[in-house]
Amino acid sequence: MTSSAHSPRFAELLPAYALGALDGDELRDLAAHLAAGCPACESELRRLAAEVEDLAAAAAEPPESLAAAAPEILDGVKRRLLAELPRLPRAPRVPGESSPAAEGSSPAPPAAFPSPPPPAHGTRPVRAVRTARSARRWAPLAAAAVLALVAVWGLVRQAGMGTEIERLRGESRQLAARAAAAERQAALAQAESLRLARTISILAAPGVQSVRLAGMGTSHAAAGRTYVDVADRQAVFYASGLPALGPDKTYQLWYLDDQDHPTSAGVFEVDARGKAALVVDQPLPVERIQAWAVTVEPRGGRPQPTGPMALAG
Amino acid sequence: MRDEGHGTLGMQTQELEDSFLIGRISAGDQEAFARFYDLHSPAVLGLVARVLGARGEAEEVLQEVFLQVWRQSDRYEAARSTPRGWLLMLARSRALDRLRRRDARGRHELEAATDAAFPRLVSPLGTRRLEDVERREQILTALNLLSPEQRRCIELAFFEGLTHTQIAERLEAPLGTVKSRILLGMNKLRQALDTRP
Repeated sequence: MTSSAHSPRFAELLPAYALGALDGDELRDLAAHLAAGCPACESELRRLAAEVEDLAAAAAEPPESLAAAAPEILDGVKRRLLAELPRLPRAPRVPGESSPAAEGSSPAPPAAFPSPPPPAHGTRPVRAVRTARSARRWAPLAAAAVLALVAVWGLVRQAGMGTEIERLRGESRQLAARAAAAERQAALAQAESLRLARTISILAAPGVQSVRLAGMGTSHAAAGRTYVDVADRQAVFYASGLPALGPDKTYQLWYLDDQDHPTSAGVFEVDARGKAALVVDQPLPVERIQAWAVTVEPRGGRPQPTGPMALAG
Repeated sequence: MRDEGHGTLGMQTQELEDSFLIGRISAGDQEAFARFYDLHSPAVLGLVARVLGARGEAEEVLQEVFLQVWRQSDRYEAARSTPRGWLLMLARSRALDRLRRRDARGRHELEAATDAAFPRLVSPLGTRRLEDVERREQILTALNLLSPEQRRCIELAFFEGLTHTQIAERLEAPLGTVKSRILLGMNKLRQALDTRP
């Protein structure tokens, strides 16, 4: 038997594989078969994984020998965990927070500015002279001396001034760039928060229906889920495991009505890890929707599907 | 085409809060983590305790599992499983890892012999929410449809991570018999669970 052709023998090995009970030649053969890609086995394996999850849920109860001690164990572990979390080397990035590049280019600003010029040195002697009554007649001389000192200080400083000015200009350009970046991030964060608000309103709607989409063809390892808010006729769609597309291609989501007629629900891109989310806020004919599908289309999408199907359900 | 596991509003509510919490946890929100722990730690403890038997190890694995949640919540994929399903599979896999590392395998068998099985259908201790209770009842009822031999084989694979060959040795049964018990048992469970509302 070749490892790539699907056969009943492989289908029979899948339940044990999902449980982790397969070994020896059978494990080797099935692993090779799965690695070569088999949409039928992949989709069966997803169903079996859900079954094993169900088993885990059924087993999720402390045995009697431990039941009495459970509350104490749970509290103790929670205390240890919460004490440990702040010490963990973990820096989660929240959308809208500055990027590492921006953090790297922001030295503590006060240290970067030059110290304030003459007055710091100049005013103190002047004030001292004014407050000393007996020295009033020396005031003009003292003032002249101070002026001379200031002039000398100025000459000495002048040499460094050119570079200082350049530095300030650079600094100012950098600040302007950071301000622009912050504005862009704020706009993105606002758009993201609107999108999240829409998503939450759909997900939290009473009677929201969930539809699972299975991977097809070369995207057999992908999965998707659409949540349909029946009352408000909106939907939100999630996908994972979708392969990245070239710059001239895009994924397009469709719904099929009871006549199997497809209507576009929007185009979307996947992130670096193959994940995607799309809020469908056009009014949907929810009673008539029979199925959802994702196809690969030329950039910008098409009025009717033309490319291969990546997800369906 | 409708997703059988999410037909009721109760399921949706739980899954929604969990998904929200997972999102907050990946953003570093400790309060969300504490809430997620409160909701699901009894189930995780229950599962790992059934696999490991010994209290000390169950406690350690419980902690490991939630540390992994804190570090790797961004690996959770909403399209593939519910947050609770993801968490429980993580817990089972960590518990089995620990079981395999044990030196004194014989001692474990003695200790866990009474515990390493799916619980009887009684009033739940660890799971508090109605939707969890209903779901567990469905699954436990489905498990009751299996023959004791089929159930034992699945339990040995599930709780002890044993392979076909190891189960056959443990039960002193022919390998072919063990294989068909697992296949038939899993298929029977599937049929029972697929008719769920």
